[in-house]
Amino acid sequence: MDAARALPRVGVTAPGRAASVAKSWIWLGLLLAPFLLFVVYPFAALVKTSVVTPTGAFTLRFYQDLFAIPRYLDKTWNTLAIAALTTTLSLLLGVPLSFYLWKRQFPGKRILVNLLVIPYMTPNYILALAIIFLFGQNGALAFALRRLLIDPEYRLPFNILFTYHGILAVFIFHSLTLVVFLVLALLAGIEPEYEEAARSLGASSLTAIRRVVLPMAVPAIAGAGVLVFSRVMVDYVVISLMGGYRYATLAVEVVNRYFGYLTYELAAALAVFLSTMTMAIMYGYLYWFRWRRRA
Amino acid sequence: MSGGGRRGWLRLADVMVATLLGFFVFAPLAVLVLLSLTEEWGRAFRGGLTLRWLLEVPNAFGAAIAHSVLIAGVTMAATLLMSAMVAYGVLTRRVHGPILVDTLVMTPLTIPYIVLGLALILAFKAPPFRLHGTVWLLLIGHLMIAMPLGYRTTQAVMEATDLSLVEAARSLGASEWTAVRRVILPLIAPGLVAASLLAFVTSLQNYSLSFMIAPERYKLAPLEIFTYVFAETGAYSNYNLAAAVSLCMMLVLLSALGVVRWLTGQSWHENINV
Repeated sequence: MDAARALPRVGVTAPGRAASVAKSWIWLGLLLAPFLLFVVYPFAALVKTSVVTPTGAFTLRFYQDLFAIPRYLDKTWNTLAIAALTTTLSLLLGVPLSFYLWKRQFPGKRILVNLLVIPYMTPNYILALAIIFLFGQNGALAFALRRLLIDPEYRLPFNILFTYHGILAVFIFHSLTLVVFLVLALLAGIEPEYEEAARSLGASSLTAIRRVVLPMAVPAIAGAGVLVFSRVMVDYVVISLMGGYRYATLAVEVVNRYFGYLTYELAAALAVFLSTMTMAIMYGYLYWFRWRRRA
Repeated sequence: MSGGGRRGWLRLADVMVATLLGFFVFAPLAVLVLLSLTEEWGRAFRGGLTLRWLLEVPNAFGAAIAHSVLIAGVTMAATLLMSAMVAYGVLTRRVHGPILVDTLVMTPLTIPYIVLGLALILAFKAPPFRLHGTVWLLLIGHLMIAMPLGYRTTQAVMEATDLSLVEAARSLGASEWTAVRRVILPLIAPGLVAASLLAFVTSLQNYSLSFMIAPERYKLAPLEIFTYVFAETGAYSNYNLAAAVSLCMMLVLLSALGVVRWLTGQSWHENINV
C-alpha cells in the first residue's frame, strides 16, 4: 500500500488539478454508490424497522422484548453456547493436533495436511448432508452394523438428526480442520532457531514449545477461534437442517419471526442485535491484532 | 522407558493422528461418492455400482443448476469489473478516501447473510425501489457478498504490480486506456481470473442469502439439494440423488478453488468468507 501511495499521480498535470480533484470525487461517488445503496441503505432500513412502531412512532420496545422475553434470551444463550462450545472443542483438539503435525514426520503427512482443505472448503450444508448420510439411522454406519450384526432391525444408539450433538458434530467437522489449517500455516513460518535456542539454554522440548513457540502462535489461534465462533454464530442452515427449531439460534429465529410470524419489527431487532455482536467480535479482534502488533 | 518403546508409542500416535485426520478429510467425501454410485442405498455394500444418479442430476436439477450458474456468472462478471475499477482508482490515487472505500466494500463480510437478506427485503419491498421478489435483488445481494473477496484479491495483485508502468507507456505516447490494456492487464490477468473464480464460488455455494431473497419458484442448486432429503412421504426421498448433486457441486467448488490457489499462490485461508 505504501509503495502504491508513493507513486506519482497518474495522468494528472498541474493545470488540471482542480478538475482532477472534482473528477476524483465523482469517481468515488460512482464506485461507492452501489455499496451505499445496497448495503448501507438496507442496513439503515433494518435499523429503522426495529425502532419504529407500526403507527410510525419511535420506540425501543422491540429491543426491550429481546432482553425481557425468555424465548429470545434463550436464543441468544443458544447462539453463544453453541458457538463457544464449538470453538472450545475445536481449539482444544485442533491446536495440539497442529503442534503434533508440525513436529512429527510420518509418511502421508504432507498429503493429508494438504487435503485438509476439502472439509474446510466444503459448504456446511453439504457437510451436514454427508454427516446425516454417515451417522444417520439410515446412514452408512447403521447399514454396515446391520449387515455385520445380521440384525435388520438394529438401530444406532445415538441420533444425529434433531439432536444437539448432531449439530455439534457438523460444526466440529467444519471447524477443526480450519483450526489445524490456520495454526499449521503459521507454525510453518516459524524458524526452528527459536526453539533450538530455547533448548540449547536447557529447556525441554515441551517447555520450549510452551514458552517460546506457543506465544508466537497466539494470534493465529485467536484468529482461528474468532473465525470459528463467528461462522457458527451466524449459521442458519446447519441448525435448521440438523436441529429443526428446537435448538434455534438468533439467525434461525430471525428467519422464523420473518417468515413464520411476519413480525418484521422483532425480526429486525433480532437481526440488528446479532450483527452488532458479529461486528463487535470481528472488529474487536482486528483492533486487538493491530494493537498487539504495535506493542 | 527404553528408547525403542518410546518410538513405538510415537509410531502408534502417528497412526492415530493420521487416522483421525483421514477420517475428517475423507469420510464426508467418501460417503457422497459411495452414495452417488450405488444402485439403491439399502444395499450399499452389495455392489451394484451405477452412474444412474449422476446422469439423473441434469434431469432433476437442470433448472436449478442453470439458474445458479447464471447468477454466479453474472455476479462474477460484475465483481470483476467493479473490483478492478475500485482497486485501480484507489491505487492510482484517483479516488479519495481509500480507507472509506476499503471499509465500505468489506462491510458485507461482517454482516451475517441472513441479516443482509432481511435488510435487503425490508429496504426493497416497498417503493421507491421495489425489487423484492425479483431476480435483480438476488443478483445485487450476491454481488455485495462476492465483492469483498474479489476486491481483496484484485487489490493484492495490483499492489504487487508496478503501476508506474502506465506512466512509462504514456510517456511513450500511449493513452492511459491503451497503457492499462496492453501493459498492466497481461500482468494482472492471473489475479483477475482468481478473483472471478472466488466470486463465482461465493455466489454458487451461497445458501442463506439466496434462501432469504430468491424469488419464489426460482430454483437454485443449494436450495434444491434438500428436496430429496427431507421428503417425509418417502416417495421422493432419495439420498442417492441428493448425494450425486452434492458431489457435483463439491467437485466444481474444489476445482475452482484449486485453480485460484494455483494462479495466485495465496494460501487457502485468505479465500474464505465467514
